[in-house]
Amino acid sequence: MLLIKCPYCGERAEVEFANGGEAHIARPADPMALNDEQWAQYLYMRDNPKGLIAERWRHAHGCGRFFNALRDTRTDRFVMTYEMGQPRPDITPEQAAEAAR
Amino acid sequence: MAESNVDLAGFDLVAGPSLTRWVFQGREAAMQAACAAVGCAVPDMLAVTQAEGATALRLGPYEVLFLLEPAVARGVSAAWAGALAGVAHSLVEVTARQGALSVSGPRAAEVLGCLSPLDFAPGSFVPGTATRTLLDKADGMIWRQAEDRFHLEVWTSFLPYVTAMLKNAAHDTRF
Amino acid sequence: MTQAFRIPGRGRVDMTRPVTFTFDGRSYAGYAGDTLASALLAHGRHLMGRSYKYHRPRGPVTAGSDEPNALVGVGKGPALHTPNLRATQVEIHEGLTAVSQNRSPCLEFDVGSVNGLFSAMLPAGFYYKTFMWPKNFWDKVYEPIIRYAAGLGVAPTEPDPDSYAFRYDHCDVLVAGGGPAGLSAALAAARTGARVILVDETAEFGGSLLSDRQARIEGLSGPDWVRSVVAELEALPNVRLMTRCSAFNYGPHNMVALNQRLTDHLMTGASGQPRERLWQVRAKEVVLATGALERPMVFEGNDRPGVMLATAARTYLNRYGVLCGRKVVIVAANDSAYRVALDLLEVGASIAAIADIRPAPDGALLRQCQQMGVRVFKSSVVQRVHGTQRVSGVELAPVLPGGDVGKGRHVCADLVLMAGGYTPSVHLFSQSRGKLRFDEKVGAYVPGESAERERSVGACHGVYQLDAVLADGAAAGAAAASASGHAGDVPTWRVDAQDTADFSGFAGALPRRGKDLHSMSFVDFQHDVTAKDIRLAVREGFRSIEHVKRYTTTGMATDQGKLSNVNALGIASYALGRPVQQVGLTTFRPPFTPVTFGTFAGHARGDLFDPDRRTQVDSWARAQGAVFEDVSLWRRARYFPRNGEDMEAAVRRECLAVRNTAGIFDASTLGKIEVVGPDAATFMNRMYVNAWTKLGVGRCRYGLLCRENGFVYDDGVVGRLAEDRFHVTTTTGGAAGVLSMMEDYLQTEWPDLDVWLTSTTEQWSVIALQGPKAREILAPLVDGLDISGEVLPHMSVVEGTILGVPMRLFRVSFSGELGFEINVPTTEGRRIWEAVWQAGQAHGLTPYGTETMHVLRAEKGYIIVGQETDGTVTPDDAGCGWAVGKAKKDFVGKRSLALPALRSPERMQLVGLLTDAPQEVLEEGAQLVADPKEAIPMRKLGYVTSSYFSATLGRSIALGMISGGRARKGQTLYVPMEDRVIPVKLVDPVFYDAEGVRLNG
Repeated sequence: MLLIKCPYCGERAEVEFANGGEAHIARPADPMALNDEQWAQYLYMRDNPKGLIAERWRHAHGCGRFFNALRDTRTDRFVMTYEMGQPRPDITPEQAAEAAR
Repeated sequence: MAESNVDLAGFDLVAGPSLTRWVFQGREAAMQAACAAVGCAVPDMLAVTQAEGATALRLGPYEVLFLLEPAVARGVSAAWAGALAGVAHSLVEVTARQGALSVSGPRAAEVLGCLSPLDFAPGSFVPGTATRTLLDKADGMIWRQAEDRFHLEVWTSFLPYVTAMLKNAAHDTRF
Repeated sequence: MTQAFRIPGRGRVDMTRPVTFTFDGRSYAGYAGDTLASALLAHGRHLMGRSYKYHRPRGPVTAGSDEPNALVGVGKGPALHTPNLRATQVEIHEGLTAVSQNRSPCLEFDVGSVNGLFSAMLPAGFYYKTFMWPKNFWDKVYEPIIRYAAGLGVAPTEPDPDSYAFRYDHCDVLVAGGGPAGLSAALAAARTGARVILVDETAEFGGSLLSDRQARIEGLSGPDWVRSVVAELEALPNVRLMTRCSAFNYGPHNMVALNQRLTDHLMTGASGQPRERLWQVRAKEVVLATGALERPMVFEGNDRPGVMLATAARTYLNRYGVLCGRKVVIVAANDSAYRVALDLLEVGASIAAIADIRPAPDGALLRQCQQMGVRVFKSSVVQRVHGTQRVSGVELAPVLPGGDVGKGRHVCADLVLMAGGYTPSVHLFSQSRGKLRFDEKVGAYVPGESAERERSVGACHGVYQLDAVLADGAAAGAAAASASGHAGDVPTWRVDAQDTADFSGFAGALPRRGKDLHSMSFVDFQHDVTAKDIRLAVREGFRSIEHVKRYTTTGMATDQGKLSNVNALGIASYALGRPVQQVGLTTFRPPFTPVTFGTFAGHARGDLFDPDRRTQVDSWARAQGAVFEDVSLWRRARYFPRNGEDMEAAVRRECLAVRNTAGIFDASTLGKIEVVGPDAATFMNRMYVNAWTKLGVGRCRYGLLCRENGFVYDDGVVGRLAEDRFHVTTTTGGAAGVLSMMEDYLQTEWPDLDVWLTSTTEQWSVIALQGPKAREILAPLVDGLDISGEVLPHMSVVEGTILGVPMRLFRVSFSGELGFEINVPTTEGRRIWEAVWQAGQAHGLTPYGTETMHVLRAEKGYIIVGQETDGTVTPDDAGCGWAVGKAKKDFVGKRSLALPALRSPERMQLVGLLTDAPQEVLEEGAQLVADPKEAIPMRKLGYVTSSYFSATLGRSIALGMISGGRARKGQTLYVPMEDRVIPVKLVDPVFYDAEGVRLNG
């Protein structure tokens, strides 16, 4: 069971959380201005990287807050978690290598 | 619930005190005003502050659960209306939504560890800490008041389940 | 019955405590501390089972959890029987009942052994090539026979009366394995004050030291040193010690699952103690001290009872005081064979021969054996084993200079020991995603780079010699403690006597004389996989070890290839002509050893499988004789039968009562969310399809919530209590999902909005009072509140009190009659319900349940989310296009509603369905077609979503979703059933009071 660091509560067992899919996908400011293909892209297309993913988690059975995480999908290592609303942080090659190990 | 008093050598489970409950949500200024109105300092995240007849539990960055005894509860709506006039906030009474359980005794932490993945070792979950967590398949809030004393808050319809699971755990931890 | 093979004064069993048990109905005597295997071996019994496919007689190969053959069923009766336990692990207790498996009528004579005669037709993968002709034989002939023959043990047929415990734990250092490496690691860590947990799967700590009579540590024998270490650990408050406890799953982020067995060694049957406990331990650091397993060797007849591992014979002798045979042949690839020989000689066994496969073995132990008269044949192999139900002898043959095997000699024996070398146990390391590497010196895969905060110590990473093992364990234990924040010294121990470790071994099939076309040389004992099966797989084109494994099923039995994987790999690599490192290894999967279902279930059984959520009115309804149904986790009254009514009769009566007088219904389970803040209306506008800005305070609106894909997700009446406060209701099952969805948008898209959400589902009991008499019943109770139609029209809400209790009163109706929903705090719910009930008696107030509620709303054409909708239905499809705020610039789902596919006239739309025959009630889910005579496959135009008999109308009604339904009103479509075709007319979905006169009463 993963150990996930909620930015507000600290490290907690995975069972307290709900995964929220890919992060940093902002809802278009004016959806009616998008064509059908652009809208479908927003609605359905998500990355499935073999490697680092920026994804959302909700501490559903804890403080209830959403936050973001950088996780390597091959190893399930979390590089870091960061508050909702923060941009995806740059990480060093060393951090990426450690997550991929 | 009032009569389910389980004493299993080192583990005690009784219904908790009758309290008035309010969920406060809002930003910093509103939170300060709401806490001040009942005499509590603003608690840090997952911490608890108390004043005469009032307990404030900071369960989220923008959320405080107030547990009030009758004397404070009576006038609190007016107090908050005054303190929070013109300040965006949410106050919702949830007195009936949940019930309290008092869990105490030298084996209290061990029993809670059968339902919740939190680490209850004295250094890891210090008295004065409160958090929502899982109690097996139910949601619950755990407030550690002392090393051997916990106040649990559980939604009303989940109380029978949580009580039964705590009793099973208390039985099991004897072996 | 005498224990002819028991050596008094030897072993650790307690000979002052005899134990009587039965095996296959026969009574045997053993001692406390015996396993079932050791106790039966003490009587000279090796035959303990029959193999899976060929039903060959089998006996134990090992003395531990790696046992593939001696699988037994323990426990009497249909509830307490546990199949497929390893006799080498079952601890006997007084009265234990065990049976052998997979044999009929008995072990000694098994009809299934006829399979052995057909073995040539039953190689690996034979079922891919057979049972195909004739085709119709599969259902009637082949499958039943296969089902009957399949499997090993017999499953229990009654519920398990035992209870099982669960707990989480946390520690600084978890040590898995209590042999010399684990003990030294645990002690080093424990002395620093770190929180330490040490577990071992057997009944005692000590591991290999308990079978080792030569070791001397600080002047103490192995067992005495173990005793002193355990005593020190037991006295430390920061240490938890658990025997009979297997670490079986290494989960991510250092969470390790432990299976602790509490009572099976004491009794079989419920006693009030939990039988087992599942631990989920989060450790800061893990030390794996899981040891190494000796390898068997692959030669013809290596599965006969009496052929076992050399270390097993040593363990049975030194730990259990049992001699496994009197005339012993040892086939050796490793020097440890000679120590075993010396131990056996000590108690009077005779070593008939030692066949060392190595050309030039040497060493002090070998010479000692020779000095004692033991014949040692170098460069020798076992060509075959003689005997069926017990070894009677072997043919030993020389490996000639060219590599061929020459003519052999016969040697009589009742025990053949295999010393094939050692395989480090890397199962838990692999589960942790650690990378394995092949170590040439050790001749095996060992842990390489760790993926978690974990260290391997001792034999499990190729350290075999005792002094090195103790140093290794101590260093790792101290390092682990230090990494977890507790520094301390590394303890050292002086080793005065030990055997020299030897890394020799053999992997693969022993060379033999002649082509191996028919020899039964077993690689995987439990799945009856032979060397020729592996070669067959390679010949048939399987190159990857993963394919070889699955095609032959080697390594796939309950022992997961503990004894077979390396030999299979050796045979495959030889056949493929590729070195072992290039062939690869299969994945190690949890559990390390089988775990009972009960252990995983814990207390999540029966009434505690899920929380059983009940409202405040539940016991009142129960007392009235209500029949209940499950809705999400809630129990809801479905109907209230009177005087022996069935559901149909009760529902008819209840419906008529609501329409003619009044009904009372518990609506407390519906979700409620309080949306509060200056931006509450803005937020509601963005979330729901409706327009909220102009909804006045004290008014209600039917809210429809879509997901961004434009499809209906939930619905409910929303009341505006103040400018900045909405009381939002949801469906019972949708409450949590709706709140989650709202929080998602609020926290991640619109965090600047000043609005907050609070679940109030359990704050309010909701008493629905519906029917022409509703107002009359309610008015006297609401403390003077004016609830007339002028002041409180349909779809409004007011705050007040009822009998002094705070109340939110909604004038809403899901029934289509004059209706109210009385919301009071749940603490008062029961009291107010009973007060309303009492007040209603004079007016004929009738309780009704969810079934009646469904019928009444269907008569009005009101949808139920999840019944008329299925996640692909738009508001317009459901006839609720009117609810969409046309002037709103944006709301969740709006853009999708503009997609061409969601505007197509062919879409499934809500219609009413009236059967030509008015008493005919359609089946929900039934399909509709245009032409009943259409050729199959028919084009399905839609289906029935809700169907009832309407007492109000005196005939059946139904709702359905039909392609282009609204344009088809007036048409007749057909419902093809198995035995008839039902014509139905498509009509408006409102069957009753379309003008809403009753509603606005």
